Amino acid sequence: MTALRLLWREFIGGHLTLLALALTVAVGAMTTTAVLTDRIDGAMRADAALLLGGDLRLTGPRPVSPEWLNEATRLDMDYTQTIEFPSVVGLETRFELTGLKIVQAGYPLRGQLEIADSRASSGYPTNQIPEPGTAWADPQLASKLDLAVGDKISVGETELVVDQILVFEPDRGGSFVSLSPRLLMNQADLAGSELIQPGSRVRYITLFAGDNADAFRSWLEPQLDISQDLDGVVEGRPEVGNALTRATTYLSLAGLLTVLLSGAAIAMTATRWANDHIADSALFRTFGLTARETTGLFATELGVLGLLASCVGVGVGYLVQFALVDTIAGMLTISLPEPSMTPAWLGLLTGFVTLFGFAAPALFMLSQVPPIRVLKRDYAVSGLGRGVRYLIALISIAVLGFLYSGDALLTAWVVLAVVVLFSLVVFLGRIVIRLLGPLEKLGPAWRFGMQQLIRDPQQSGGQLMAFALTALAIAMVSLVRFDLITTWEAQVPTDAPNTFALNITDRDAPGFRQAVLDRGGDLAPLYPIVRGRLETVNGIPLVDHLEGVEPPGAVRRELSLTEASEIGRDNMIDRGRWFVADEPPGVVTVESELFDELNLRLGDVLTYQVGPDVIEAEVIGTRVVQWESMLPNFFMIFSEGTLSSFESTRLTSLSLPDPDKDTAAIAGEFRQVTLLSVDAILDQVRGILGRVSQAVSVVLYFVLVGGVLVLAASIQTSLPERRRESAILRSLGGSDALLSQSQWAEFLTLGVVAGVLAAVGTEILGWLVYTQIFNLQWQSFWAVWIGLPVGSGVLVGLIGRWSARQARQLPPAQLLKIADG
Amino acid sequence: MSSQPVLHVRQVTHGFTDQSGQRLSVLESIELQINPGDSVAIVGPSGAGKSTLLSLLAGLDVPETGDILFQGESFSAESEDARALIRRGRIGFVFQSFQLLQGLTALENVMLPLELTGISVGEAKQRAAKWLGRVGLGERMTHRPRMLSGGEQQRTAVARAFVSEPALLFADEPTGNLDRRTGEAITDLLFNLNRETGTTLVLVTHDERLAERCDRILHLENGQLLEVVE
Repeated sequence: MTALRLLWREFIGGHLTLLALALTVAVGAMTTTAVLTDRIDGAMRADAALLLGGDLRLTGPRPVSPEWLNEATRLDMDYTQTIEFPSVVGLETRFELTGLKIVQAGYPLRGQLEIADSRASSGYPTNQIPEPGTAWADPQLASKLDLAVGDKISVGETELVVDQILVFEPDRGGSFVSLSPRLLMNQADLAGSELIQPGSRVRYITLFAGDNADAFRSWLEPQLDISQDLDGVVEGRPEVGNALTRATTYLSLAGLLTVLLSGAAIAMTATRWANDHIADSALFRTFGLTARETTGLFATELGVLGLLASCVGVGVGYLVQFALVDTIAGMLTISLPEPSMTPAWLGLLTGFVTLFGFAAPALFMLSQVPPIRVLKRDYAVSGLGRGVRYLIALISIAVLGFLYSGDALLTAWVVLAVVVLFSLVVFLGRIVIRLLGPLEKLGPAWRFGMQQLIRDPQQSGGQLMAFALTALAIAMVSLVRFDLITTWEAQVPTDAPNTFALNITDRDAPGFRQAVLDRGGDLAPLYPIVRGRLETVNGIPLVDHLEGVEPPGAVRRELSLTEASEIGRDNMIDRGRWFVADEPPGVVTVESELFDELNLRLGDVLTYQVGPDVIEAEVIGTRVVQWESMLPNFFMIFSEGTLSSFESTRLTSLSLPDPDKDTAAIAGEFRQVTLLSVDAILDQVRGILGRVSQAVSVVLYFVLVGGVLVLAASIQTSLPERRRESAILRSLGGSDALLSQSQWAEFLTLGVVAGVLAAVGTEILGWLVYTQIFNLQWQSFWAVWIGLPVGSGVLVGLIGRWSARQARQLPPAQLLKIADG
Repeated sequence: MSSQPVLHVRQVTHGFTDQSGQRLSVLESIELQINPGDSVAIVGPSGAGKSTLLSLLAGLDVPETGDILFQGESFSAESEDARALIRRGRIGFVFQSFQLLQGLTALENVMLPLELTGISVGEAKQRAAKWLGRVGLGERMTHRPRMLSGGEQQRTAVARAFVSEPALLFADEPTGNLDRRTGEAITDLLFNLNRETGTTLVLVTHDERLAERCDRILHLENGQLLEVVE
């Protein structure tokens, strides 16, 4: 109780304001970032789940086990089952191989189908599925069969009335595999069609959706066999999955850096608090308190302060994020889910872990104050060694970082970067500040400013660390945000292909190309497509080559093989080489990840079964493929001439200035070519990427505001010394202008040096984070080396002057009284 | 009144080892007895070891050799925590730099030693208010140290030292930070309270006039403690 009364009295007396403020800011910043991240992440995932039709998609050759569905029900997961297989659909005398999709009520679990009342009318969303006895045909099937709404088509042994045109399936995806004509029908009609027979190539797909998707996934995954695939959004739709993974990692990075900034602020204010209480600790011992009682008193005081400040911080965090969401509501197109309570607990935990990690050494020092210090002020107080203090702080950052991001690798890299930055500050910062000594010659203001820095290396080193960390954090989140958004914009540029063209015969190819170019369009190369299955590696059957390891999904079925002389703009050779001019037939380049999964080496000879024939090719290079580019891409690309003996049709992607009109004209000219608009898919992907970009921007602004607050708090901790200095200088006749200029000089120098150190840190952390975490290419950016020192100098200079203005504005007599207190 | 001395110093020797490893002897074979109600001044030149002797007498430190007994209880053999428990409520201090907690009001500063030793808030407040009244600060109880003059701060410190009604009160240069007039006022206060409460007073000072008001004056120089006899 005494501790609480002491806490209250000290608080009322204004002696805990700084520590409480730093904690509140730290917890508030963390909570806001956590709540925003939680909500934005939820919104992004919900948005992206639309692309899969659910949160999870289980695909396999057999119906799903009832036991699995029971478990899904137990975990409050919704589910729906669809069946997909190819079959011939007929209208009068015309027949077309079509991808049938059999659905049941509830499909899709996420997103909506879009249908149109006729081939000419535009689509609208619906929550319905085809009624029994009816089916919905997509425009491709309608065009191929030349069918109209109301026509009766034969599907196996049954007949169905096409009563709608299926314009859009959220879960269809943008890959070429999904581009055969589509017919959607009700499960009630399946038995009557007698389409599924032993040996049919049927895919049973079960979609799951619900809050416990992660738990269900963990339960289900160990039970899957080789023929079954379980996908979340990330694996199921790589064109947005990659963006989603990167955005989530980005949000984690931003949060982690906020923890760092907060930690730095708390360490500074807690050390200040402990120093202020050394005399009190000794005094309490003279009153007869034991070391344990004294420590208990301070620990209780600090603990209760931590709890209260954390609670306030959590409240502030929630309020700020509400205000933030309100302010940016016009900018955000995502409808955010309601905030959960998880960030609140995380915020409280942050308060305690940062307080413990950064203030425990200070508390330990207070427990070691000998009572004799009440008489002898120069009596040394032994605290924890510097190494132990930093180790505790680092462990706290690591624990919090991991709790917050759940990403051990990211946490490890950031902790490593902090160690590097810290070493830079310790070894380089002080040397640099000393080297700046000659600046003293610029006049009295510079002399006082520089002396302030050089005289107290511990304080200036601490501030340098805080400023450099802030600059590093802001630079990192800005750079990563810029590069992510640039990457996403490049992924679906405004001139991205909006139409796919399939079934182009060799005879039509030149005319087709010319037709597209004549209409001002642009098209990718026309790739010949031959279907083949990988059989052996260096003459050894694939299964034996992999020594029993399950072969990757891509080679378990027939692959689309192609040949080309020029590498696609979204492909990059990372090992070996691309084909030279006049490359002889019989060599192949392999997609880089598949190359590794197949345990291949350059020079290996692959054998493919193509129909009754066999082809052999030597691997000469590997390609990193940007699958999300919406351009045709292949696992295997052979040198020209390798596939020429096989019959093939060609495919390509093209962008047309006026897709509707041009598509109709080209389709009229080349009737056997299938043209498929992917505008809807593009819009879907663009929409999601746009939202993800907004999310990362919002979090950047928040880290920015957090950084400035922490900066101000860290300057505030040095105020008592500053007040004393100012009082002495003013009482000796120093003018307000002199004081003001000397503070400018001091903070400007601190800011510039911190900016330079942060630039070094950014190069190191940037390289690590870009190459190891985001799989982006890091390149040194000159603006970092100019922008950070200048920006940091101006910002720190302004905030420093603003914070220290109190030290100048009070009359010297009052200042001296404050300083003596 | 008990004939047992409040403090009994037996053959105390104490010193330090400097940075070069050389031993510096501060106190050598000190013998001293201080009786209840005595007022004793320890004087001597700067660096003679007055504060060191005070810290040993108060049990804030232990001598290298010899023994110090407070009301018959030995400090020398006890741990720091045990010595703290011996001090609790029985020994008070007045310091040159007042040592008031800046965040607390005058009343709260005086209440503090009572609260820390487990006395209820109500009682602590009553006793503290009474003592502040006795030192002439009845009207300034809600002021924080920063709003009090040096003399008022030291009066607060005196009230805080007496509020536990200790058997022994140590004062380390109690007038060192005050102007002469204020110093004299504080001196008057200390001796009046010493007389009224029967508290034993041990003070370290450079101020000859302050020392002369004590019953006994002990001069510390070259490690030796000599009683000055008028």
